[in-house]
Amino acid sequence: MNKSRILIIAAGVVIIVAFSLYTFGSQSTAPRPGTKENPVNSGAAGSGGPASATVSTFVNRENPGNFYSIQFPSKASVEHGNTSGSYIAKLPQGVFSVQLVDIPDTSNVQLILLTQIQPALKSSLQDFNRVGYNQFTIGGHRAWGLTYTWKNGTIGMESIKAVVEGSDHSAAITFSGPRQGFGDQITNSTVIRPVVGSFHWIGQ
Amino acid sequence: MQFEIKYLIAILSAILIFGGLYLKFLYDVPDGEAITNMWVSWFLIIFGIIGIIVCALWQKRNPLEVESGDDTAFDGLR
Repeated sequence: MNKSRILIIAAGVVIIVAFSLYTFGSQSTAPRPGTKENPVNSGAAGSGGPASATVSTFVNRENPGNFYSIQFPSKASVEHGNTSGSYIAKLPQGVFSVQLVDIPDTSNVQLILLTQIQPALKSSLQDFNRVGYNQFTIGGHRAWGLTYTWKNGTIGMESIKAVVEGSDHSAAITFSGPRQGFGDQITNSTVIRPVVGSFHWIGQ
Repeated sequence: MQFEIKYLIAILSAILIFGGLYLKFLYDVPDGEAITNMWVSWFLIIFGIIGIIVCALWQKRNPLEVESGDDTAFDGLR
């Protein structure tokens, strides 16, 4: 076997090994659902919340191309959700959930929200009723908000779902709580708006 | 002029690599299909690279030339 043949085989093996390491090394290793998540840091709230409130920052790097960070109040109990790249944060006022939503290249966030997410909510929630729909901006990205009421047994609930546009996936941030007190100024200014406003994509 | 089969293999290998790279980096993978996409793209690219290596190592043998260093078989002819 001459030298050039050895070089060709060596180069091929190196390329195969490198590509295999890249492929299998970049696979996300999502924690099991319900696993307690630890924040990357804690500190005072930004401009969205009162100066006295402290928030914890969570950075999610499970889905390549869809890295993001979000802040929850420090008193929130944050767990990993059912799907890769998702969080569930439990607060006395209600529950936040963050999850990534696949937006096909042939569709857009608004279309998915109205033709898939809303019908899915309607079929899965008791007495679903849409009460609001608007567009706004989060961290320089377009977002659409869906506000709706529903019933958990006999308890009246209200939710707001904000879907933030991303380069690949979008992120759906949902806050659900009892209707009584949901829309009051304190909950809105100290919990919902700061958390939703703290979301931003990393590297987009 | 006869078309050598190694060029056909090289073209097919290049197509495999292109397909694998497309699936890996450009295709919008639906939710829940990421693992399937990863394996399919990996196999396509690995088989493509192996095909290119085989083509690079391919040598057309001249039936009139004997590469064996064992000359004892021809001793009787000399």
